[in-house]
Amino acid sequence: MNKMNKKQLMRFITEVSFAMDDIALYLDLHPSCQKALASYDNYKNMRNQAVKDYISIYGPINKYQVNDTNYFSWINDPWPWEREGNC
Amino acid sequence: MEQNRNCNRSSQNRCFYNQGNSVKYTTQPRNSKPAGNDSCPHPTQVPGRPVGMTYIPEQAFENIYDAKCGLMEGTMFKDLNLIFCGIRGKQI
Repeated sequence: MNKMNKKQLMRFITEVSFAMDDIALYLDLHPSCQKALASYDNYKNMRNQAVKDYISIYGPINKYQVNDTNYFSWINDPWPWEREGNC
Repeated sequence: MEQNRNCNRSSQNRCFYNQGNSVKYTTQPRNSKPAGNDSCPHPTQVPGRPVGMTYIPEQAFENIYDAKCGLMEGTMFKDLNLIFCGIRGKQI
């Protein structure tokens, strides 16, 4: 995970986020499917770790993750509408 | 060839996991004649499923792409990754 650069790590977060979203749609219809639940949980763990790594290295992805009490680091580039901010 | 099969979707960065298995879904040309000698339907009766209703085969949690490919294809489910071609009854 920590071998990825900033762009690669954001891309990875986007990928596992999409995986979670799409599997969640399946789980909406099959809420007790153990295989789907296991896969969802797996991607959830991967995403949590990746987001944690990203925030600790590159700063917050959204404004709820700002921990810096001296500076509102959320305003650092890239902005959400910039290409770099969207994989 | 590949580009045509995938409705001019960019061939860059795609996984092509469905290569060889995809079905080209098009609407039937308007002037085409039905197969066979008559146009009467011959429904297959399924017990517990009355005619005139539509049924959707239940999806199983199988043939799952990895996350990287899923994002590129727009779905995590290979079985749902169908190639829809054609515009207003015309094939491309």
